[in-house]
Amino acid sequence: MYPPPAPTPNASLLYALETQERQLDVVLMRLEAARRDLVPAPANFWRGSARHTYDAGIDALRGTVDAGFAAVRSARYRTAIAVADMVERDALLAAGGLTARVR
Amino acid sequence: MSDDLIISGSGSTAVATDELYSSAQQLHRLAIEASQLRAELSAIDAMISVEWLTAVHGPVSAAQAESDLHQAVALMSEIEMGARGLEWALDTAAQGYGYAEHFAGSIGAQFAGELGGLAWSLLPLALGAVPALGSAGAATAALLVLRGEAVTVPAIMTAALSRPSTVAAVRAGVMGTDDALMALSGVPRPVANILGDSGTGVMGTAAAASALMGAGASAGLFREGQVQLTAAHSREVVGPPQGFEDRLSRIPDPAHEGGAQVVVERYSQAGSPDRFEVYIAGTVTFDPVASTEPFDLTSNVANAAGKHGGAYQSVVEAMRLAGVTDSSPVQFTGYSQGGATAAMLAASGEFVTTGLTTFGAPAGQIVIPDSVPAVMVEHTDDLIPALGGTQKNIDAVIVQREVFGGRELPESEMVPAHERRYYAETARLMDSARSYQVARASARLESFVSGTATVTSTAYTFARAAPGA
Repeated sequence: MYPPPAPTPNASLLYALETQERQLDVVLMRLEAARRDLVPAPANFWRGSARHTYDAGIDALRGTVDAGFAAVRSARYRTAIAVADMVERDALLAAGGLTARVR
Repeated sequence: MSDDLIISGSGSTAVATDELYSSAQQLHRLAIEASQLRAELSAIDAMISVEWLTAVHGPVSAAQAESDLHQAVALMSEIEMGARGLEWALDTAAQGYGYAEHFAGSIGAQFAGELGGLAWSLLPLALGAVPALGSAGAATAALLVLRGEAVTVPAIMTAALSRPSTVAAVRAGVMGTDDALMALSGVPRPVANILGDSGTGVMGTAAAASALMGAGASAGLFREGQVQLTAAHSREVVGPPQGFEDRLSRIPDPAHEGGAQVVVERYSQAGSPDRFEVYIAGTVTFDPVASTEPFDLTSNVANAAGKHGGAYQSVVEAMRLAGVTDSSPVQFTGYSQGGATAAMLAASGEFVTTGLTTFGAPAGQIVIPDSVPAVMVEHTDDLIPALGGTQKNIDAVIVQREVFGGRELPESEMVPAHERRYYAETARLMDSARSYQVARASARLESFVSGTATVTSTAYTFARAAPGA
């Protein structure tokens, strides 16, 4: 569990979400670089069924990397929405207009 | 096919294309990256729990992000496993190809030995089987080409000599010459097996070449003599060599450089000993009768015999004149005979050799110490490296390429794949190769002269003073 640095539960969660967003930004950049540089091109060094099997394996791997990238991007996007929600909630709490709101 | 580089050696039995090795490396790095990202995503995921979100009535989107993170962690595991599986497949293919090559080479060498032993008894039959006219024509043409005389090479002969299968057969045949000589001398076959390359190696291609030199000497051929410097001139040089193509281009071409056969570059830097790059030219004449030109067929045979021929003596003298001492770090680069001479110098242990690069050198049987980083470039359709026998140096990076696979052969050249311009093409491909074997070898060669303050370059021309003296 992330150690809460702030006195209120909402502030702790906001801090954790902001940290998560920043870290997911970094992961996303690394994953994008891996997708660009580390997935090999289809083979020219094999012929026939060996080539077909290898190329199918590479295609499947590329698909998994794409899915991984999409999952991290979605996590980052939803974290950003959560951060915005928390900021908005804090603002309303400070103004005394909200006791609890879940979006 | 003609742009594919086949990489072997580097202390491994694997043989594969540069592209295959490069793909395997990408997959290896991808598996490591996926593993690290999985660990980082798990740590990120652990920061916020669903229980915590529920307790503080956290946003639904935060809970959805948690679900995405779980999925991402699982996918990173899947990427890692997939990449490792494909990398394993590529490594296995490279190993399998290497074993197949090794097996085929062993069978070929054994067959060549047996054939060599039988050759003398079968020789009359073999000669009778070959149409006498064609045989005589081919022999005459070969002799004229070897003697440097103009001759129109029949396209069919060029095609036959440029087949990788012909080159492989010649390589195996070279390995059988000692067996043939032992059979001629009446050595029983079981004893010959023990003495030959596949046994103790007491006899072998070097011994066969020595015997050839001895026999030739009585007919006035292959007679060595002392060499002497006839000319030296400074050469313009802008800095250390950048890549294999640049390195090859620095080897002198005697026909276009006043006969210079050796170039020595001296790199000086305050506080450290001078370092030297030595570049050695190929054969100037193939005339078997030794003349004043030390880079001739006699030196080729001397290299094969493990003796210090005129070419070897010339390079040693050039190095002495350039200021190379027994403690100076030296790198050798040679083309054709120059490559074999370079390999001999590296193998001699007389110099502090920190690198060796050969192009089209008949140097397979010259054993280079494991401690010397070596890159040996051979075309599989070039007959000349095959004359050096099978490759013994498994710690060297061996780069092979079939120049004319799927490409038209040029006219008027008997062994076109040996031409320097095609080795320049291969060197260019090596400079853009991505496999770690080639890239690491290149980086190591270039690090030799990094941080150098001044560089001078001198080209040397030598002549054999008195052939046979």
